[in-house]
Amino acid sequence: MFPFKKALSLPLLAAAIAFLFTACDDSGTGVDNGEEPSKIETDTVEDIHTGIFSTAQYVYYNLRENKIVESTDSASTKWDIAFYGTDIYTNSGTSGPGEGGAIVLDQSFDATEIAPSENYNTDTDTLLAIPGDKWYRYTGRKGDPAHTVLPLDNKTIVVRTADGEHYTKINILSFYKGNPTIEETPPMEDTGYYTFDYAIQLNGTRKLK
Amino acid sequence: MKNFWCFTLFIVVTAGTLSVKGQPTSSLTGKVLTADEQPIVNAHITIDNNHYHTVSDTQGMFDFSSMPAGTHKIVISHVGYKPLHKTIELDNQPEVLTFHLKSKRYQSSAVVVTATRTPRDIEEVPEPVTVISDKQIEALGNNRLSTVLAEQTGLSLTSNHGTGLQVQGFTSEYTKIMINGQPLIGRTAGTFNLDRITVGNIKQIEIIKGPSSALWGSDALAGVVNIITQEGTRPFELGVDARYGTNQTMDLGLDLSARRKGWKNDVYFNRNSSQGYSLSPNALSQTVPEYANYTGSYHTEVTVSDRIDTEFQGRYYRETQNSIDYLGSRDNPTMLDGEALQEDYSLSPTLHFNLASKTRAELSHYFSRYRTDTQLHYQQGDSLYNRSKFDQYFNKTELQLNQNWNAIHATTAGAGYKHEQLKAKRYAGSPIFNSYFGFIQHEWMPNDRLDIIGGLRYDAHSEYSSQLSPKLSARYELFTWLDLRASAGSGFKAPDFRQLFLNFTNPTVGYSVFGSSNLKEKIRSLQADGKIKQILQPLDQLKEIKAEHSWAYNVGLNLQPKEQLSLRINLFRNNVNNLIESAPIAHKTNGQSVFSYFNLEEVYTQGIEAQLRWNPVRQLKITAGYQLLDARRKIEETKTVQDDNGEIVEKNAVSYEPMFNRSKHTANLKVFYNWQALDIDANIRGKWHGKYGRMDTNGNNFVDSDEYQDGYMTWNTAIAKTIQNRYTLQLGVENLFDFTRPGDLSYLPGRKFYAKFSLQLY
Repeated sequence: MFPFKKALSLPLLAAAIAFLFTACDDSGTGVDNGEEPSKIETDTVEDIHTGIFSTAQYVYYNLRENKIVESTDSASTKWDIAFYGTDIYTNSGTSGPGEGGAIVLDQSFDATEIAPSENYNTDTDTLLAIPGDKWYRYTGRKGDPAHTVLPLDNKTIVVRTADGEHYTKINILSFYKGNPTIEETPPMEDTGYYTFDYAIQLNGTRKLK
Repeated sequence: MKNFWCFTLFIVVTAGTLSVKGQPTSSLTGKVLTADEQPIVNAHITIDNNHYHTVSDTQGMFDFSSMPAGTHKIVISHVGYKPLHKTIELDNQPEVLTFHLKSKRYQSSAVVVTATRTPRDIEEVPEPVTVISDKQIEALGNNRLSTVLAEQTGLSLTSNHGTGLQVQGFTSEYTKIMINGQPLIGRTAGTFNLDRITVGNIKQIEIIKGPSSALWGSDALAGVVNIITQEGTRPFELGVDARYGTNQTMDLGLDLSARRKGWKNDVYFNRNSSQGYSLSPNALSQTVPEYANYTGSYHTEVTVSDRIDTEFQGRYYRETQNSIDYLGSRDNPTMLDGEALQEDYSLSPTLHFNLASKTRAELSHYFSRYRTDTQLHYQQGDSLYNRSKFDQYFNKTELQLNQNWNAIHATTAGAGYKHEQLKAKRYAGSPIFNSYFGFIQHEWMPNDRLDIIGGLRYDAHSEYSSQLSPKLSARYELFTWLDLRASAGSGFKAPDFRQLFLNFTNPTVGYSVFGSSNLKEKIRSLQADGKIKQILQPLDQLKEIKAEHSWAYNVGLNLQPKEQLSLRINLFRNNVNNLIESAPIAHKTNGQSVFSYFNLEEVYTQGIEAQLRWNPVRQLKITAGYQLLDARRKIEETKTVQDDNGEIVEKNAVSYEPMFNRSKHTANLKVFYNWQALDIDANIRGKWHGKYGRMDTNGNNFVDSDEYQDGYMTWNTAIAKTIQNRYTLQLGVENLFDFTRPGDLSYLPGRKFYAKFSLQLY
């Protein structure tokens, strides 16, 4: 389990903070306008380590509770998205038993104020709901830096959680340990670490802002 | 091949029997003088390709007693002077003619061949041709083709696997580089490395910007650079030069030519070496590694009869490069020694026939081979880490006919066959491709002021769709001091070996790239092995790959209000489609993709080029050039965005966006000064590149406002002292203010000093 040790600490801390927030929000309800009060949690999840190529391992993530899920729970709805190298799975279709799905929007994270209600893509044998070419580009041999996976600008991934009841928006920031700047080409061993911003609405509505 | 030589023999025999006999004879007496009426002693006078030869006496006088009457070509030459070429008409009356030779420094208007495939005065051709003469090259003091071209208006260098040329915003792969009309082969990632070409034996470089595929076929999409090599004009000539400079850059040249009656020989040898340089002081490997290269060339011409000339040209080039590379991280590197060999050679026999007084034919064969062998060894233990070889063969047989119908009409037509083969590990088997071509061009000169040329070329190819390339150009002399020129034409670039035949699977990552010619077969075999998860486009619906294709329009004017002042302006627009890009065609079960090459992209480039020449006084010459360039790529995007209710909508957007590594503005200024009394020449030249798109940091394929790099300027200077018109010492500085930009301008070393001796021994 070596790849998880480092990666776990930060998300765990984040999960703890998220739990505190949730607790606070629960006690603070009281607006009675027929609409559930907004319960938006935001966080930057750092360095989820999945590895790449031969070292790649599935890492399952629960966005509702902001934590990594044991891979023994891969056949459950305890996870919302999973990482394997540069592949990102949603708990839907051929990938899991859940009611998840995703839409990749060509707009900024901040501009995404509401989740679409329908047309969510689910994972199939041939195409994932979050296709690789929609979230990153590989710079290749001629690139500068060469052979580097760089998340695309102006992309927001809207993910429906495995229970089919919550919506999240995700902005992937980096595929390398410590979210380095573009000038610092990271060494091979620091490849396969996801850092992303995300926001989740826990009140059951589609509002994300 | 057999047919070729049978045909040749037939022509030789037929034309040989056509010799004309029994003409009336005449005599010719002449005088050779300098521009200020001083006699020139020992000038060589040759007539009709060395058929008749004599030298001038102490009064500069010469005479030929029994000459056949009719038209003769006379060449008068002397060391230190520009050879004089004249056509004379001899009738039965004895003639006394006076000839003035101009000092070599004098710039006369040049004769160019690239515009029409026939020798023509540069002022007459409708096509705007730029000529760089041997004198200009000497004055610049540069020793490789790259540095000579870098100083010209509208040309820029690029560095990608060698130093390439950017013309009207197109990268190196779109410009055809030729020596005496024969294409040079051997490109890496599309770049033809201009550092491979020495400029020591060049008579002139002819450059046409804009497509010339109607005459020259594939690769002449952005332009053509045709190098015309030097030929001796005196019975025996021997010149040597040596140049030494910063980075232990050494250049030695030897130029030898000998001619006897009807037999010309030109030999050239060059050695060029450098210890290389590093632009980033802490780097483990050099920016440009240590190298040594050799160029040898031989040209001979034998006059078989009045009607037949045979010509042979051979060239050999070899370079060895020693570099240091490393594996792993920079802090804990595994060091490698690299050794790279590059070799190319070419052989070209040509037969020229005067079939009738107004009909000429030229039959040529061209063979060229280019090979590289790159090896990397571990520094410890010396075992081989990697070795790659590349071996390319090129054969072309071509027949060209020129017919001057009368003073108003002239036609040039030709046809040929090309055979190319490649041997390299990354290519399946030894791919071969064949192509045939035919071209015709007609020139119409209804009067002295108008000249119209129409041309058409057809190229048929075994591996991709055939191409038809038309071109129409015209020149009109509005006033004696104002010329207008316009042309419209199409150009193309054939898919290269990589795009047709690549067979590559990345050993560590596992993605594959296949050329379009072997794509279907490769995918089917992967499918049979169960390695394909999904095919993105049905294989039987794939379109045959097409050549990259352009339409171009040029209009311009030549203004020469005074002898001392001229201005040339040209506006250009190139619309290019079917540009080839790689794209995924299938997903593999290992999560990686299979890529191939498809006609996907569209770009346009447009701009203005201006060139000003001014001689305020005789000793001073000032030239200034400017290019405005707007090069844009078509970006088509389908964007998934949201409507007011947050539901998704697809929006299509088409825009044309700026391309990387192209300066919108470039300019140059050159000042030449000649101090005649002391025979000293000095010059200073500057070139400015405006800001340019440096790097695609966000992967959207175009330059965003924050992706620009600042402009820069470089200066070169040289001073030369000549003694007796024969011996020259030149001192110079390249990149006077030591400007470098290690990241993206690796062809630009820091300040370099050099000294050069040129000795014309005979």
